[in-house]
Amino acid sequence: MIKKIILVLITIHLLSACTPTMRSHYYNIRLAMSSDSDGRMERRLVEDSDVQVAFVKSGDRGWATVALAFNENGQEKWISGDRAMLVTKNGYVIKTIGFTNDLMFTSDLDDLPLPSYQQSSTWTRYQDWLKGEYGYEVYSKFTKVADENIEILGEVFNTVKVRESAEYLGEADNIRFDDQWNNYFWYDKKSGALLQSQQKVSPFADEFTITYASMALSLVGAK
Amino acid sequence: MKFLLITILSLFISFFASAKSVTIDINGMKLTYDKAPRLSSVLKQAVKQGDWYWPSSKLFDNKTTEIESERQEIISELKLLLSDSSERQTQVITDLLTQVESWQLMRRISMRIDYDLARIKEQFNPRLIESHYLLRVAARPEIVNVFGTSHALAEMPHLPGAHISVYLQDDDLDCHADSDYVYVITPYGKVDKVNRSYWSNERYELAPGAEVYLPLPESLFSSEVESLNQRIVSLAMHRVK
Repeated sequence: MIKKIILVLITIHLLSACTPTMRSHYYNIRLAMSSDSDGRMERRLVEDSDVQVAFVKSGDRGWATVALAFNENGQEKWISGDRAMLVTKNGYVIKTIGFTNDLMFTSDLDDLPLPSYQQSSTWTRYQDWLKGEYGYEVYSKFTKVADENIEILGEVFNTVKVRESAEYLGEADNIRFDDQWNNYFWYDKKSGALLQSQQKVSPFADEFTITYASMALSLVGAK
Repeated sequence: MKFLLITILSLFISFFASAKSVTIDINGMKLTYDKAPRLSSVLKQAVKQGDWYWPSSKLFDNKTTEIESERQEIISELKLLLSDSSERQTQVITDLLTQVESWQLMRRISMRIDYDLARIKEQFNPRLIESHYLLRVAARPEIVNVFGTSHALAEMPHLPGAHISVYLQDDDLDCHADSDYVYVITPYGKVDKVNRSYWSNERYELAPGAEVYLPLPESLFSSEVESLNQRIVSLAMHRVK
């Protein structure tokens, strides 16, 4: 009995720094990521979650569930169960934490043409990487390439597919041969919401495939 | 029973430790906390002031006794070198002495300071116990700094994707280009000893806001100055100005 009381005291003591709202928020995030779905995209998990969730595939690794922990200053901050973080602006990855080589900084965020891109919008920015590469300039051109139906959690969505043609511009001392690549974004045709993306932030980074599951189910009234 | 006593004791210690006041200066904005705050709470206040470039943010506290004592020892060693130096050596040592004496020092807490990181990884979110802290946050620095045995302190534009040797090509800046190595204080407060040669196998780029220390050259003095160089650059890490 005494041990139980002490444990309660310790718990109260540890949580005393959090406000009730924050505690509830963190609880919901932990709940969203503690499912036994083993990373598979499960509709039940999305429907039951009180926080927005997305499914992310990074490189050759399996799918992971991420929860929207913070939505602040126009940026979405998604965290995974192993405490990695993807920071996106309008769905575009601009910072990472907990990956092999983290993207620490992306400049010129106000000029990002997504989501309200015009045909052939362009964006030039530079990036700083944790493993010692700084100020590498990237140029992108965004083009609508097709209307495409995609399926998410059993629902079919009519989308506009946008291609980003990206290129490393920096005249780095270290020579690279793979300095051009394509990213893709799928926007719901009716609402304009981003439902899926396939993006690499540099030629040497792993590709992220992100499926915005909560957003998708909310469009069909299942959330 | 032992478990019970230890737990109660740790709760008491924690309570009294947190009851003391913590003051923090964030770019001139003064904050006082009655209880020891987590770093994330402090950074939350900082983000209200602007959109900061976290990789170059710095946190200092005022526990400076050891640092000041180290500075005095370094000054004494430089003066000792001065007492038995050639004309060329005298100029180099005098320049360095002037720099070391002028530094405003506080103890740098050497860790990555990042609001996002602090909120998701506990090891980057320490509790700040009773002390006075200085948090420096800024926009992305567009410069790097060179100091040490240079003719003049130099602030140079940061060059995207450039090897460190590109910064050190100017003979006026680097009068001891015969040194094989320079020291770099990264924005995180880590010290790297770097082979300065462009042809070195190890590629090294300077981060925005990095500081390069041009050491006392062993060719002009002796190999014994290496440990003095390391002590100087370690001290410089704690420089506020």
